[in-house]
Amino acid sequence: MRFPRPLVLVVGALIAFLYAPVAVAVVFAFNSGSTLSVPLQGLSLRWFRAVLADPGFRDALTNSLLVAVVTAGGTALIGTASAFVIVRRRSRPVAALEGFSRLPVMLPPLLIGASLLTTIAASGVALSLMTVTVGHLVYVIPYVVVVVVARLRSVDLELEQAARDLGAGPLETFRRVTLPLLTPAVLGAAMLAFAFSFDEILITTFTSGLDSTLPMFIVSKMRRTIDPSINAVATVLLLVPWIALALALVTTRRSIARAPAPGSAGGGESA
Amino acid sequence: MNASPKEFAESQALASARAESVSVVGVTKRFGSVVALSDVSLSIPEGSFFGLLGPSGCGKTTLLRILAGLERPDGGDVLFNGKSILGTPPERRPFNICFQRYALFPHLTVRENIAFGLTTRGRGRGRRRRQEIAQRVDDMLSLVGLEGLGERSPSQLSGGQAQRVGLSRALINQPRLLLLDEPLSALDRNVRNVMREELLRIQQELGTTFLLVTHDQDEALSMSSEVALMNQGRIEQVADPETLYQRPATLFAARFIGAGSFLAARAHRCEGEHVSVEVAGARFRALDAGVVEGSAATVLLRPEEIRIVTEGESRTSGIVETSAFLGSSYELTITTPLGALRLRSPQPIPPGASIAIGWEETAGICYPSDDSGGRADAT
Repeated sequence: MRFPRPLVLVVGALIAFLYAPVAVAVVFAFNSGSTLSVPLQGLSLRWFRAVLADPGFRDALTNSLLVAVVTAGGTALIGTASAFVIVRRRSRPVAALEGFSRLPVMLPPLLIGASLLTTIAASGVALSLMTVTVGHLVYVIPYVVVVVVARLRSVDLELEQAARDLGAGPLETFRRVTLPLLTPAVLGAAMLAFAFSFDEILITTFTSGLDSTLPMFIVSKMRRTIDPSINAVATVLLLVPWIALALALVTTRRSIARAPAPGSAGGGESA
Repeated sequence: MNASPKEFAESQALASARAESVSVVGVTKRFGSVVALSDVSLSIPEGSFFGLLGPSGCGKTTLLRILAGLERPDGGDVLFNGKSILGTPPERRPFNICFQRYALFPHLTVRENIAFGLTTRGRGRGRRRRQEIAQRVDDMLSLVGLEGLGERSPSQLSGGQAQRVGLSRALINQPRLLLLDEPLSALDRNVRNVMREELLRIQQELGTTFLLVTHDQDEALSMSSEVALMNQGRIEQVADPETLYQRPATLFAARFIGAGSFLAARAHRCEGEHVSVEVAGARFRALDAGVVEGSAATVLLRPEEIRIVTEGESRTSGIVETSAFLGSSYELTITTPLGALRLRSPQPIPPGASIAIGWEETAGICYPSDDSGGRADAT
């Protein structure tokens, strides 16, 4: 089927609208001049050097990476465990739990941040990267649970029963059958958690105390001056999730190479 | 001739006394308010091809799952070698399942699927062991005729191939009892017939006890050496296929197995094995299957017992309603004063023709009428 030309143009314009600002930001990061205006004055890495030399930036990047990695790992663990309870232990209270586990999706991050700050202050815990991570976990776990639950529902219970029947105990069944079938979904969900955590700013602002994360660093920097180093930071912000995504893809590929035919849960029903 | 109920009871007792038999004793299972099994007792003789037959929802799959350990009964016991195995989890029972929808592990190759049972609980380690496992998998692949497909993924297999993999995966642990859960019902008709012969051959070659759960009476009767017929969570009859066909113990068994005509009758006098019956004025004798004198009854007549005869020696006559070509003969349904009858004829008879028919004095079997058995019909 051929699409009418005007439609193609509209979609093209939409894509340009979405990506042009990103492209502009990345291009200006490599500009040697110190103003954010055309014409560009030449190609240079001076803003990257400037940014990398800034201890404030380095601390913020380290903090962001730390929080994002812990958030991704934590959500993968908690999300998988919750998905198991929700899918494999069906009962009325569990169904209610599933509903509640999804509710935070509808809460505005502003509210989550403010209420977390109140709770943290009331319980006398000092604000730190720890409290930031907790905030991110609260916000992102519902999404992860949804992804892993959907995947686990598609894993035929009969596969686990077949493994038990063939001599595997409950743990071995999980390790050799359920987990390999869940891995792509769990990795994808962890990636989502990482990407979310890495550029989250609302909840972070409420819960961070003295430590600064990368998004907070950019905002505070912009309040002082606007120069192309902002673009260099934004480019880094853009690259990190991509690198994480590439890493995740490589690891999944490897696990696929070890175990062919992923995805087709239910066991080769092709006739 | 057929075994009498007494002889049959004895043979069953003998079977359960044999070593390595599996017995189910008074097993009951409820799912909420639904009774899936009520007081089921069964003994599966060692080395037999045992059929568990019944309509869907009769509890046969629940019984299979209880044997495998995937389900716990609410009451009763499961014995292996005379000892209870209720406390034994599925992974420690010497029984394996061949699943209806194969249940092959999609992330493993055919080889890895088949080898799975040999590698559980850390038994797949060491180079010698791995060589041994590879050898056993090769043996299995050639047993089921899948040489050369070992490296495929389950998604690349046809239904028949997948079920062969499922079968070899279940057999590689050399189970004392192989539980086949409707193994052929997901397959195409042609593949199904090939797999029937394959299953019989493999059972004879290995001598493993096979328990075949099926709703298909042809499948159960043609493959099993003994069949348990189930209905609504109870065992209706346990017998060899011939007995089940020729002397169904209950009206349900008579209706479920094979074709036949069912005539509404009144039982008169019981005389030993037989009872004299009256069907719409006609009187004859039939085998007594537990009727009460003077009560309403239902008489079963198998199609092959009814013959077309000359006017003089007929019991009744009727008008041909339909005639169906079966290959070696024609199946006729006729309307008679006694009710609708079903019979076989070597030559075609056009619908509308009037024919005289007869049967051996005691060819029928007379059952007490149940709620659904009051009407005369041919099924």
